[in-house]
Amino acid sequence: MTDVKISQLRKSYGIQTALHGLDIEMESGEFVVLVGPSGCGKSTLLRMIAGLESITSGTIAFAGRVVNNIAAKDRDIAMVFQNYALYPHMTVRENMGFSLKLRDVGEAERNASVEAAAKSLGLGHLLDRYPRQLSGGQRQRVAMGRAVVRKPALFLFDEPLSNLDAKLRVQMRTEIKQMHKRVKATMIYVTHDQVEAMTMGDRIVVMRDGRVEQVGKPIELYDRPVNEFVAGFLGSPSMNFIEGTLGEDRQSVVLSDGSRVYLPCAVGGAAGQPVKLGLRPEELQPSDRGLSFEIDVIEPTGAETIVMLRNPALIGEASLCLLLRERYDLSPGQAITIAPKPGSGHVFDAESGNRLLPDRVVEIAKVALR
Amino acid sequence: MVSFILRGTGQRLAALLLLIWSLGPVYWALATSLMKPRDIATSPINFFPPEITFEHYRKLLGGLIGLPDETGIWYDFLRALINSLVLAGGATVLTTAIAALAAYAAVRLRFPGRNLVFYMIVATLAVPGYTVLIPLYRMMVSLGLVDTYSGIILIYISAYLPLAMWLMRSVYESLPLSIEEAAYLDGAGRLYTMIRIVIPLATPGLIAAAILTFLGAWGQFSVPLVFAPTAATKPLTVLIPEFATKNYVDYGLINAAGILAMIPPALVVMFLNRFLLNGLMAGAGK
Ligand SMILES: Nc1ncnc2c1ncn2[C@@H]1O[C@H](COP(=O)(O)OP(=O)(O)O)[C@@H](O)[C@H]1O
Ligand SMILES: [Mg+2]
Repeated sequence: MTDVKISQLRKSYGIQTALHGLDIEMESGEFVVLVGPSGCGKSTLLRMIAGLESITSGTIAFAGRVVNNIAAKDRDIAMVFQNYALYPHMTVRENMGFSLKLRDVGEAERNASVEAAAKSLGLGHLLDRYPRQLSGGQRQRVAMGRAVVRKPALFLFDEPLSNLDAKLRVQMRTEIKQMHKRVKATMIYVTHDQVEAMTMGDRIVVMRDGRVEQVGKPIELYDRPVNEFVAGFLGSPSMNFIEGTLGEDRQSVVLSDGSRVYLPCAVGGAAGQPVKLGLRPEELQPSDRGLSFEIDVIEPTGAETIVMLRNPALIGEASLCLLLRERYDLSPGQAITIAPKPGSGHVFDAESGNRLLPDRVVEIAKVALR
Repeated sequence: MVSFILRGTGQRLAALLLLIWSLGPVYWALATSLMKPRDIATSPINFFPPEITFEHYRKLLGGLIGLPDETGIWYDFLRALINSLVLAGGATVLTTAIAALAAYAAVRLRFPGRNLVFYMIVATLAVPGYTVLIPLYRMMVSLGLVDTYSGIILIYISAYLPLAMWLMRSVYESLPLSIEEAAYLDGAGRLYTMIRIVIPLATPGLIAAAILTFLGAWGQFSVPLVFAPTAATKPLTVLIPEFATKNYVDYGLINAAGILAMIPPALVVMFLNRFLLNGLMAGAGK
């Protein structure tokens, strides 16, 4: 168990900068997810924490001790790689016991540890197989077992589930969380999949282009994204944005077709300022009064129905996504009037994308449609 | 269907031609080595020995098993065989070992001029050996390395190292770095990782490099012709042509020696081939 403190961490590859001075603190025993689109620097950050990548400037500290100059092999870290990186010429038992052998753990004790870890991962009967004789899911478990056996202070995962099929991914998600509860170590988990981030993280660090956009608990990030990027990145289907301008009272948004959306309280920003109104698909519902659309496509998934709506006057060629948990009798081409559910909606500055917080009230702006 | 049969026939024909092309000379040497001298240069040519004789083999090996022998050829032959084995074997072991380490450094270690050094070594492949023979000779004379095992092995290493390094580099490049990184995180140092993880996974490449070097060194002619003037280091490739004298070319003896000289490389290839396991890397990743 260890806490991790990252201060002003920078990474450059020649003239290209991959990380621009990150500050992140992770508590001991926490499950932190680093999430962001491909190429945003998640792996680079994880590898710097592991000691596999050099630090351009800034510090990484474990339990108050700066580890910048400590070699990877002495950092007491286990990492699960995206491609598993099993030792192909060793059996599952040897793979899992390799680190213990290096630390001169006796054979009997080593076997006991390996067998206990294998049992908890359902690998008990595979110990004498080679990696090539295992399925993808089994290899993934061996990679996890290799990490668990060591009882490290810190676990790192770099997109460990991205090579598994959808069903197995959901199952492994749960197993990793269970493992976290069991071993109680600090874990840092990298993924580009926002569903994984939301479901697994105690806290989520959202990254973009080598910068931290927002850090917080999953629901916090979901409900109060600091900018348009975070708002659009978390949630599936993702948030709808409708362009408009802030009314002169700063308590309403005027949309391009002239309709006006009233806000319950004033938000920061100037009258007439271009803004984006953010509405999550599940925050919208059919209503007697509100904004009119034409139904374009209906995608029933069983539990819920995704409806794509069109209104060129309001949103141009883009579609507005509506997610319905109740079943309605809808068909493509039909006209529909929708309104947001009470207590939902977000307002962002159109230029910077930053959230426009209410002047006084910290609670999010509740948007009402006329 | 017809085209399928035709294609099958064509393939078989091509395989047959290739077989004749590569095994024909071997057969010819074998047949000649078993003929009596009077049957060898006849017209028309004998494709099969009319009468099989082992007299040439007896000249080469007889003394070894204590048969009466007045020519003393068996002793020269044995000496040259040992020289060939020492030179080719030494060059193979050293070249492979150096290539294994140097190519690894070229792939995984970061230091200034890393690629430059590598390409300069590999570029020497483009230099024809005979162009450096004379300056090399002067150098070896001044170092006192002419007619010594170490001198000739040194030359062989410089000749075969670039190829072996090139080969090993692509082998290392094909190994996922993450396997080595996993070993570091497991607590292994660089050297331990090299010995326990990298080398075992690179074995097929090392074997291939060893085979290439051994075959190349075994068949070397011009280098030992210059640098191995006496029986102390003279290998088979230089000894065998000496069986052709001004007055008499002993075709039977030359071919018998040639057949015997083929055996060690064939054994080496067969032995090492067993380690050329396919799919050693399977299962490392997804
Ligand atoms: N060895 C490298 N040399 C140069 N640029 C690199 C190297 N590794 C990563 N990068 C760059 O750093 C950025 C972040 O990469 P990475 O951390 O792998 O992203 P992610 O894991 O979030 O997809 C990318 O723009 C990538 O091109
Ligand atoms: Mg990555």
